[in-house]
Amino acid sequence: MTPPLGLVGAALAFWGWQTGWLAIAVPLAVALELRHAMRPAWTLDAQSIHRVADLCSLALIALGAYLLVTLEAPRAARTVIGMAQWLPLTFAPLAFVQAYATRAPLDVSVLFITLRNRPSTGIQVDFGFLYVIACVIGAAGANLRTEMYYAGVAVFAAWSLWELRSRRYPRLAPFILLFGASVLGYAGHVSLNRLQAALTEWAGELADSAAQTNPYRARTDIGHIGELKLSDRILFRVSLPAGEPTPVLLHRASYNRYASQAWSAPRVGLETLAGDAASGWTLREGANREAAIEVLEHTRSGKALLSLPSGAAQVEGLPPSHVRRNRLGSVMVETAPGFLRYRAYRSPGGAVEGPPDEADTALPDGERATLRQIASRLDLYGVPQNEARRRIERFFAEHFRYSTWQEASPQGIVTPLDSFLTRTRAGHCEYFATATVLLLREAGIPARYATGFSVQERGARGDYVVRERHAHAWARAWLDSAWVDIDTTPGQWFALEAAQASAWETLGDAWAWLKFAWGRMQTSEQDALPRPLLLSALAVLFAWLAWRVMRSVRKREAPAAPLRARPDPPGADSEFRAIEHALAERGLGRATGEAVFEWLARLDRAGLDAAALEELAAIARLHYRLRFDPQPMGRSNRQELKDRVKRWIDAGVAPMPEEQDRLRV
Amino acid sequence: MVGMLHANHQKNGSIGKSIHEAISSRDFIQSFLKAMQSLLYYSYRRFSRFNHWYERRFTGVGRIALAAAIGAAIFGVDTEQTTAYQAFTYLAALIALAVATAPLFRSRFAVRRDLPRFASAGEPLEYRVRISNLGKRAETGLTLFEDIEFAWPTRAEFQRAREPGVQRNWVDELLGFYRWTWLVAERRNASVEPAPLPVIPARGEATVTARLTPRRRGMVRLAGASIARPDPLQLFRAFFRTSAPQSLAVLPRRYPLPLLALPGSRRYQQGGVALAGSVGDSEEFVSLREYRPGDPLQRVHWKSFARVGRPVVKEYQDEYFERHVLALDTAYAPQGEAAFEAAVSIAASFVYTLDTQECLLDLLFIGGEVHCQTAGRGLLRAEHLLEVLAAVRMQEGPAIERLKHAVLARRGALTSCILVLAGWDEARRNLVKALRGSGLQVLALAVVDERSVSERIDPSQGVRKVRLGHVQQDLAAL
Repeated sequence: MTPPLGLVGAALAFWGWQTGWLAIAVPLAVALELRHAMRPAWTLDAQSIHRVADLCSLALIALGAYLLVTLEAPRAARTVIGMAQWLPLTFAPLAFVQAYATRAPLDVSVLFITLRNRPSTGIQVDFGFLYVIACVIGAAGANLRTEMYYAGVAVFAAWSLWELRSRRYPRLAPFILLFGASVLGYAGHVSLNRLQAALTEWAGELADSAAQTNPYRARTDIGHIGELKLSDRILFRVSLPAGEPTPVLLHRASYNRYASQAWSAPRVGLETLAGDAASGWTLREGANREAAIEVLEHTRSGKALLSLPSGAAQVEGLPPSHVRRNRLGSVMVETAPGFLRYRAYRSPGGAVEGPPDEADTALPDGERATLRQIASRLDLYGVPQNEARRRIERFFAEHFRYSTWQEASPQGIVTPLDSFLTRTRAGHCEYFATATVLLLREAGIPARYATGFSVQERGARGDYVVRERHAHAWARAWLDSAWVDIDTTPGQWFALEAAQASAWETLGDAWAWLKFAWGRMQTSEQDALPRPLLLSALAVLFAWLAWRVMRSVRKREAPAAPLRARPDPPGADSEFRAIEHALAERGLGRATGEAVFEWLARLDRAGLDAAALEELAAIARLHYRLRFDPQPMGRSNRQELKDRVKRWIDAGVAPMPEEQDRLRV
Repeated sequence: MVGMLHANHQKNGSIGKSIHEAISSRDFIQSFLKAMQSLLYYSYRRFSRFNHWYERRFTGVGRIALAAAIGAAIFGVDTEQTTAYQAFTYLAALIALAVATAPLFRSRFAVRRDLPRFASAGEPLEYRVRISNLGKRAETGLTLFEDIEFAWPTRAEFQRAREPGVQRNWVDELLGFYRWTWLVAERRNASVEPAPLPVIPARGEATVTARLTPRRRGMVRLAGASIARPDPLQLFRAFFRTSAPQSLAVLPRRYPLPLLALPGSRRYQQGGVALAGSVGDSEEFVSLREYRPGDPLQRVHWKSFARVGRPVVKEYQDEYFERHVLALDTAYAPQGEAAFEAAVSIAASFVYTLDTQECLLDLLFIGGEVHCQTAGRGLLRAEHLLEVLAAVRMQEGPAIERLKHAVLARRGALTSCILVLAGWDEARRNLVKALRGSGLQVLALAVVDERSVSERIDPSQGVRKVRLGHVQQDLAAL
């Protein structure tokens, strides 16, 4: 069953109309439809058809690669849409093959390379119908939100299926089915669209925000019982200046209020920072331009908290973004989703946030007693602030150890923090940071709870990798009129966490490496270079593949093309033809189908000179040898034939005029 | 942050702990693999059932429509980005309506097949099917499907099965999907092409030719027939199923053999022509002689007995004719099923080719007990032996040893022995040696897998090698 007259052309024109490529679609459609007026013209064997199909697939892949390189984010989705939209053009060669080379349905292996080396599946399909589907689905990529698309779908489906309907039923039956499907489908697509709108609204940005740091509230795992396990996923990569001592703490967010095992930052406000992509954003004056810390990370939603070192004064290299900062030093950017690469320059003298307020000294009621007890044991009251800090640091270093394992504490009797400080004396960074902040406050030093990442694992490229398990918390204290980072978590925490790394880490890292290599290329500031380079490389690759495919098509076709009726018989170039020709001019020519010796006999009867006739018979025998002897004739014999023919013609033997007359009778 | 509870309270020493962990991790891997295999088995089984349903229910057009709907759904998953979801809802509605028409098919039919008794493995077989329309309306546009009954492979069978002669990459080997599809096809053992039916008048009958291709020897069980009716747009089929159980014996695949001159000479056959029937040497009277104890009563010549007063018996010419034994090795072979099937096919080729007008042929094999079937000289015909061969199965236990004893027990009456071995190993080598050692002429053929190096046959042992996959060539070279 082949597509009815006009179906393929109309579908292609519909595609052109929807996508705005009518100028290409209409000539193609006319060319495809003209086949109904012609007989199949091309002879192609199965392999050549496979080559054409491969060429079409290649074109589609090349198109996908081109779109992936050139389109703006979100690339993957747009690329898929673009590829589907251009399906009718990329697969046009196959449509022409189906139209002009063969009217028979093609085996399904034409489209699936994996099926080619197997015994035939026996599934055959007229590519014309598939092409109609490609046109209709491709037209959807234009996303013209009019009713015409749905009408087109219904019309082309009905048109295709009408010819294929079962003759068992009266015509009304398929009509009812098609009509019913149109109505049901319409109701379906309207409600599907509404459903998605409702779902999107309901879900909001929930899914996206889960992986982000919330600058207003941080739920801690304080009080979490059992093993604390963080993933090995690489979040970002960091380049440190040469000679920078590690670990470097990259700060994301600070919080000042602790209640029920959670830190929060109420009423901290957001101010927009002045600056642009070219000049960067200034957090504070006096940036040291010599040493920059560079961070490469990926953001899905385009909203991110920057990971900045303590004392960051200037941020550069971000794409055009809206950059804001809260009072506690979190810097938030809003930009296009994708990779972010930024450099942070520091200025000497601690973190850059504003001076402390009363929230930075508040103590939660539940922990007060324990804190007072420890503070008096450490004798923190009345000593200089720096001495108090030293005592607190020593306290944690001497009496505490790092552990990701928490046993259940007698619930309701003591708080988890109390249990950490007085009973277990072991915990993860959140315990240490929280306890330090609260002890500092107890000692009269304003302090905040800071979160971010600890940079100390070297990556393969000489840079540093930051994994999810490198997430860290520490205290930020106001000492000597500046915010100073105080990290009391025992230094072995990093090694302990690394020891728990999963066996699959290498695999995940390889994937992350690819991802970041791609990101680095995308965010490269010499952006002008790779893209044309990539495109031209793609073009060359495609041209080469296309040439290979087409060359083999040509090669295969070559022997079939010049179909000669019959090769020249041996002896076709015999000199004897000259005699035949000479006698024919005199009206004594050999009749069609007359054997040479029959002809000679006739000439004899016509009264040709006997000696000449005898010589002619000898020449004829030589001619026969040339003509029919399976052994090739020697050069000398051939020369003899040539000479004798020449002599015979030169002798000019002519029949008598009256005998000519008789011959005519 | 991701938190996970871990309730491991082991407090062992570090060495003990690591050993414990190693053991438990090995156990873990084993149980994991086992669970994976179970999961694969059940999902493949489900998939096969689903696929059978899908291929029967959806016509070619229906499958294209379904594929287009799925493509549109993928492409239109975000209804704000493209309008392809509209194509999806239309096609989904179309398919749903087509499916909804299926229960409206209420026609009734009766089906009778004219099925031959035998088929040959690999050879397509055509037979007639008569379909009676029991309804009051003429029926058009229907298709006949045969329902083949088979037992699904069990999990153990799936794990044990090996695809013969196919080398798969390690992923396919591990997942075993191709092995599964092969195994199911083997079990089903036949494919019948759907046959379009002509118009069947009301209360009338139509005949259609169905074409069945058996894959391997054994049985094909046709449980019933299904009459399919498409919906008005030819997307989905409705079925009327009727039970018509019938089975078909599939004889083993046979190969052409060259003319064979079997070695050996005629041997005395006890039982004489009574055994051999009426064809061949006549029952020739030689003389009368005195009765000797043990002579059968039928041989007493009563007239002479009356005349001389002593029992006298008739003496006949002793009967000599050729008697060959075709011994088939049914023991478990290292090459497995494929080699065994090849061996059965070779045995069938001998049965089919040897001229049993002039000689006797015993087919001897071990299947639970010793089976010996004799063909020729008015006894069984070759077809019977082929029928027996169609049902031969591999045996566990010392089948080779038993085969040796069975052949040697018949040794006195045998002219020669054709021994078809399904492999080559120590036990089989000893069997050939023992038979040769008894003075019997032995033509031994061993099916070997060229790929396994351990299976080299020493030419001096006088055993013909038949390579798996080259059976035809190697038999032609006999």
